[in-house]
Amino acid sequence: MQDLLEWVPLLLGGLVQTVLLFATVLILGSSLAIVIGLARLSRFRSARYLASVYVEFFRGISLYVTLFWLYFAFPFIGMRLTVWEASVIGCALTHAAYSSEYIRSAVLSIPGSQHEAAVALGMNTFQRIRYVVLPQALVALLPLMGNEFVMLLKGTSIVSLIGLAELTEQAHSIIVSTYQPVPVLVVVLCIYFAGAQLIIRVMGLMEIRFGRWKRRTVASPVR
Amino acid sequence: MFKRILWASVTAAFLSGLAVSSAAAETTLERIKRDGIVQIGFANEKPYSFKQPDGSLAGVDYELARAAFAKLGVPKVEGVAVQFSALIPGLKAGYFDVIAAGLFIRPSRCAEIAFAEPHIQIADAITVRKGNPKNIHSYDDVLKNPDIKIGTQQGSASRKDFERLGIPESQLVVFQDFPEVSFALKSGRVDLTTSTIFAANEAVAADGGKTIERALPFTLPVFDGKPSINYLGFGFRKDDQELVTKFNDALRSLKGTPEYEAILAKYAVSATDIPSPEVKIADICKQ
Repeated sequence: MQDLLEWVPLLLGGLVQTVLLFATVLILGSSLAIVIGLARLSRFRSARYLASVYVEFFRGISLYVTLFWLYFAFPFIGMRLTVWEASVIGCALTHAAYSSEYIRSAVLSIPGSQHEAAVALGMNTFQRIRYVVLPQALVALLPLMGNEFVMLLKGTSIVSLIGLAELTEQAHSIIVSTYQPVPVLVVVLCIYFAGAQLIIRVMGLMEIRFGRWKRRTVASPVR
Repeated sequence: MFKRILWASVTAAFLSGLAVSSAAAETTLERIKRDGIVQIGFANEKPYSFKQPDGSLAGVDYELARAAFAKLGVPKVEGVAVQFSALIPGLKAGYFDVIAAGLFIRPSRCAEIAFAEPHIQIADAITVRKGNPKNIHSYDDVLKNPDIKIGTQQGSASRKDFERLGIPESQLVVFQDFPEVSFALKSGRVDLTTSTIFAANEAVAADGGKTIERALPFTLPVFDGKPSINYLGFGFRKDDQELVTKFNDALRSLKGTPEYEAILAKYAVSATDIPSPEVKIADICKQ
């Protein structure tokens, strides 16, 4: 056991890398997802077309294959990414492909009649988005994104296959040196589980915060 | 229109290729001397190259590489961790300049990369569960009993041997690295593993002799009248031949020095594990 304790700093270093990767991908990937998701609903056929090609492509190939291409094949066409860059780009592109579908579905969940009603009330585009689309779309989107963020956290472990020194990779290093997989894997399991719980709780709080208007309106008695 | 886009992209790909090759006019040797840093690819395997608790590197391959590169005027050796099966792709893609990971020199690998002269020779060792319950003492025993499963690792050189011995794919179970293979042996997923004597001893020692042991005696196969001995070599890119020559000279001049002996002793590598100078890389590659 003593010999395992001396490996704790290495594992913690891996955890820091995992958190950094998760946060970076969450920001970059989700921003891209918004662009792609809205492009799929665009008035312009070319934007819709390009966005669906993107989504189908990255949903259709595995993250592992994407990472291998980015890291090992791209240098031959003159683009050498560091392992960090390849990990961020690979995860973000994949995450964006899935999330953009959630964004599209959240926006589509708002009935078209509301658009007409808002126009009839004399709302301009900004007002329609701010007071009609966004409050309802967010409530529909948050549970889906909670799921996706949990998948993203656990999905970052795949970058260990191209050697980024994140949690799984460092756990692997410890196992190959100590030949003690069970305690190491139990610790790693607990860390991922705690991380997933944290994400679920935060998303739950956000659901409550952004769904307040719903309870307010529902609470008013219908006569 | 479509044709024009196609031609434009082909030209662009070609030009970017040119840009890369002209930027790489400086040889690897010149670059590592200028920077004072050389990067080695390793697969985290004892005793060749592996991570220590503080994240730094250790291992017989790593330390020999460091001593040899110091002689070439490159003081710093950095490690790049990759999966075993990604060592050769990673070297070719330029993520590191040398493979220092206990890689066996095999003709199929010689076709892909350039090896330095072998620095270690080692026979295979067979590990089984304690008490050898399936009574395995040769590969003939394996062929006779289709229930016996062999654990091996992705990209391993032994795959070729199994093929030549006529062991069917259905008896092979492939894992990422040797520690994984040894866990599969402990948990009963496979009945036999093959590895170098080093790796087998590491696994048995870590286990404390509770669940696994070396299969003794074991008749190792003989190919073309020669017993199967594995030669370990440092791997380089094919166009770095000048670096390989310089590295060979540096490694040769290290032999017999107290520094060299100390490195070998530290990782329990004995004098019999060192190939004689008559063993030449060209011959090993020809086999």
